[in-house]
Amino acid sequence: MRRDIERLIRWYPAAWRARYGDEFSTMLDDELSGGRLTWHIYRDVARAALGERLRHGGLAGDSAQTEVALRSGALTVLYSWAFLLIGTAGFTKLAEHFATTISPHARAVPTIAYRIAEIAVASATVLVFLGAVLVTTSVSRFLHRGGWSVIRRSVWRTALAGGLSSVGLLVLARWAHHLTPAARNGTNALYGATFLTWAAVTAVTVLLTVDTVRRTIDATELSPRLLTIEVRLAVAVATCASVAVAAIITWIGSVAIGDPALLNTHASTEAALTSMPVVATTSVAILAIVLTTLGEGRIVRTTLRARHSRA
Amino acid sequence: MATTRITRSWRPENSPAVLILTSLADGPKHGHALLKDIRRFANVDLGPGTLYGAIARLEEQGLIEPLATEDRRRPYRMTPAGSVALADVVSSMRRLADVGAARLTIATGH
Repeated sequence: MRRDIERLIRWYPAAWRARYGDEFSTMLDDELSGGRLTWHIYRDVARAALGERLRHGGLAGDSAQTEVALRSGALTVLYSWAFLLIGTAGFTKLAEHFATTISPHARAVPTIAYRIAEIAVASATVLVFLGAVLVTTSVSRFLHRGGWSVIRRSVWRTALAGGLSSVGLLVLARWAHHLTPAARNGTNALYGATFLTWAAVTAVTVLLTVDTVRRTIDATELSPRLLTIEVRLAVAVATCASVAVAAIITWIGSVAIGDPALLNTHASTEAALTSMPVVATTSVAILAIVLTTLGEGRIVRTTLRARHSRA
Repeated sequence: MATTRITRSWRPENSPAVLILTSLADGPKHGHALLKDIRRFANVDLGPGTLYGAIARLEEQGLIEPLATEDRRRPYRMTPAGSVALADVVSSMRRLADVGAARLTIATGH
């Protein structure tokens, strides 16, 4: 029983456990008096622990310090950029050669949408790298002060996933060299499955990379001025991500209506919109926009609250 | 049954924070004592996560404060700010109850 309770308490963030963990487990012991943990308790604690994690991460509630809340808002935008990259990879595959194969009458809107998506994703990526360059000095100071032990596991995990992804890419490139375009695009099931596995590993690598950056920045001291710049960059990234997602969805919608044959063999708008690659790309893009909204919303709310309390 | 479920979910006195402050109004209590007391006077079963979520928020807002731990059980007591906050809620609920009762009397004619 005690072990079940201890496992339950681990759902809470470490700082919360340090403050309330002991009394919480004693209260649960008293409440259960030898009985078992019920589904009602699991559900209640899961909801409360998630709330505490969001609160401690600065993503919920008004109690988080302004600096913590701004930092977490900016880091949430960074996650949205990672999902945007993954969604863009799917989109690029979807839109491969569309400029030469789409019917002339349906070309205008997708061409503009594609160009806008390209520019928006590239701009977001440049801004993210600019943000990374700006924190380099602070991060190296953090590493010199023993920060490596904090992020070591995360870095190794990311490096392992990155290594797997690179090896997979080399194998796929050599393999693809011996295949016809039709075999590369679906008729060779084994190649298709391997490609999908590689895509999944690469997506995980992108997310692990961003997670490592998040852990590093979370533990790095940033000056108020640098934090302000990073937050402004995050707002700019969020704007680019929103534009990119809108452009991707416009592209999919306009192609599904104007030339659905490009997205599926049945050549109907419904079939095009419900085909697996379209659903997968749209889902990731929507996830990116949800995270963008969460992160940007957090930044805006915190900024307004800080201004209000100064006034 | 459905009505009971609906009304229970939006009754203001079912707010965990109000229940905890009401319970602490007659003296300090630790987590389990709070759960038992709330069950007794309000017939509400607060989950342990909900209880400690509300305790943490009330403590942050300075409405309750922890006392020294006794055998791993930490009692909490209401602060003067907590008393003021509870008095405010109670008086606003009383006003609401008076208006509701008066209007129900007009509507039903009893």
